[in-house]
Amino acid sequence: MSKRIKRRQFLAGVAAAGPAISVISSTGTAAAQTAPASSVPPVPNDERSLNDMPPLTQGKSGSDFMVDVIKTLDLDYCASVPGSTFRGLHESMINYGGNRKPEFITTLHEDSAAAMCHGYAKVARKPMACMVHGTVGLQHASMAIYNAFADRVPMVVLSGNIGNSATRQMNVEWNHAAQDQAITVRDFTKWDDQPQSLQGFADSMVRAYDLATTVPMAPVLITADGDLQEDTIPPGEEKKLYIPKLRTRGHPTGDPALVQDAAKMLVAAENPVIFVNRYARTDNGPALLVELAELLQAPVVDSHGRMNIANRHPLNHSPRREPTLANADVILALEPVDLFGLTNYVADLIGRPDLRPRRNPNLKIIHIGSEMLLTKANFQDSQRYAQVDLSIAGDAESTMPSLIEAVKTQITAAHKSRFAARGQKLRDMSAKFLDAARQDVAYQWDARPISTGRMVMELWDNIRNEDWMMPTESQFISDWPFRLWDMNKPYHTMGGSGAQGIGYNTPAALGAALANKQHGRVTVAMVGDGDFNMAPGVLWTATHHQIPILYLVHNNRAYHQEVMMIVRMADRRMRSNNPNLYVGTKIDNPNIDYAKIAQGYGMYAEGPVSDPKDLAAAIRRGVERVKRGEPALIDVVSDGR
Amino acid sequence: MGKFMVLAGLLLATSSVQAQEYAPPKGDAHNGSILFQRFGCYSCHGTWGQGTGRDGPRLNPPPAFPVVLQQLRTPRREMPPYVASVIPDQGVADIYAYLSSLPKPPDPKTIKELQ
Repeated sequence: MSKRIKRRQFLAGVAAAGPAISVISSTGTAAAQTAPASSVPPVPNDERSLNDMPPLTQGKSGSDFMVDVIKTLDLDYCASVPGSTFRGLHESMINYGGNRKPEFITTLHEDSAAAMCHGYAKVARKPMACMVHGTVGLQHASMAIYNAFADRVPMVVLSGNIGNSATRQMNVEWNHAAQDQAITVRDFTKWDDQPQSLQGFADSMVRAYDLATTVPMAPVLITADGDLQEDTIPPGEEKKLYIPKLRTRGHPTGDPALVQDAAKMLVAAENPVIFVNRYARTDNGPALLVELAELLQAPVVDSHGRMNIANRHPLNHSPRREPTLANADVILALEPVDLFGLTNYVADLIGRPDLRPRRNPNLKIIHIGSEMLLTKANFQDSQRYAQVDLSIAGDAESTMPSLIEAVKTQITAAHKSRFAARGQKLRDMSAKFLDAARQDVAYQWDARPISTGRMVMELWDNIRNEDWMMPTESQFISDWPFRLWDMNKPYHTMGGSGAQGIGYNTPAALGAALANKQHGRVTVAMVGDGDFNMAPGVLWTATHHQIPILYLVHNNRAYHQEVMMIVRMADRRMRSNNPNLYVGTKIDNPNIDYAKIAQGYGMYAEGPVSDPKDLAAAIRRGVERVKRGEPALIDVVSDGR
Repeated sequence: MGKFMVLAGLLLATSSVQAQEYAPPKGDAHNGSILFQRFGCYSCHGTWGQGTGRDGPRLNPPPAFPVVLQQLRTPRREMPPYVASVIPDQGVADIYAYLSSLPKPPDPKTIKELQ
């Protein structure tokens, strides 16, 4: 055996000399072998003892080169729970790489690491990396990866694997190795690879980043082989290695001829409506949408998949979603996600009937989106196939400039006059939205448990003069921020989880806060208690890395969505007077003290706050902490919705 | 589609004449508040009957008692049914008494945080 024997190969030699009894010969007969004298493996065929093994790595390690590759890809952070399958890469990242670009962010769960990437990317407009342990770490991370996939958000997932079974250490490394570990997440990643050489790693890493950040964006996975990470790069090989330059890329845009057709339909329409969901991809997205809406004087209905349009823009008619859609003769749907749902409604009744909402019988639908460019078979995030009149495959935001120009060429003076009258009617209606919402929230102002409206508005009163961002979902708090706040910056919010996997909001908000940190923004996250309990460890990450964020725990002491579902089932079956009605859906007895949990993780916290009169001061103190660069948490005992 | 719109439409469509013909039976507001929680009414309509946007309409003040009773027993669209064996008419009357006892909201113009 060579004097350059490797430790793993040496150990493999020990194992390989085990108790072979017989083999099948090429003729199909069992070839007798000498039976071992004992089940104890023979002495390895090597003259040296373990003490003679080289104690030091000579020269550059494979994982050092991997870090060289990663540093070319504009990845500022890598969130991770440490794991032995990527220990070489971990050490190279923090020592050889200086713990910069990427900086190692320590998390307490791989799901949190991946969800942080999800939130970060939607604010920073570029991906973040997470690094997860072979098999078990990837399994932990899988739900957050699925959420990001369904939300079409890029993420670079790195993992390790001792691919060579002959060099794996006993027991644990076998449990953490797989022939094809990417299969765990392949149904919801855009691409993966497990390269077998350092040059292969360079090629695949750059390709993965390229694919992840080109529309349709999605997570990618690169598995770094353990031996490749840990072994020294042979002297002759190092000078042959090169790192491919990342291509300059554009995003797929709509067919110009079809865009012209869309413009004609929109200009000719009596009542065009623009429907947006996962539309805005850059800071320029909202401005382009407003330009088109104002050209047409058409209302916009926003499903909040991204920060698409200012909530108080007079053409934003989201509060009148159904009447607006019912009145439309042309709907332009931009990255709608659920296109079928625009004209159909499957009711939550026995038999799940399709109760079609009222729509104009002459309605035409134009769809511009990238959904169909990345559709996989197993998980059903593709939504139901929808009939439309004109479907344009491409990134909606990238297609918008050409659509705007096409509309401009179609509009005549007569059109402008008609559009102006239409716009004035829309403005008259939207002028009443805010007062109506204020009236609604006043109904619950003094309620105990504290109403979600009161919680939301006490928070608003404390941040309205700050540069703020609210990264969390609002459907469980009656969408109050969209109804009452003034949301007008491209970063004021960022959409939801994608796949409604609970446990998204708490860590994704921290990822958003990490991206906001360099801008000095006040990040405020309202998270449900059910969501929070999936990932409380992120509070330690926030404290350890001093990521400023204010968490308000919407503590309604229940899985409230499921409360409603179980009540519905019991009602149908005439059993809702059963004393067991709330078994399995309440989070009480004992009530959880979220402030104490936060304090245990080293974070400033207050609560539980039960009296609405105490809430404003508690939030004010929390915001002050955040403005000083610290994280803070307020536990708000609140009503269901 | 907002479920509240469905119920709101039903309530508006119901004759006010019909409502006036049936005075609500005497109810116990305290017991009604307990039932409002126990049967999960709060989960869509808010603990104080304030409504929760798309999940359930405001019930403060409540519509006429027959409208409430009819909607509970034979709901239109997506609201689940509550049969008499689950909530007897007296229980409905108690819930109605609770909803009727709820205070009127303050004028939003008097709330600093809403300005």
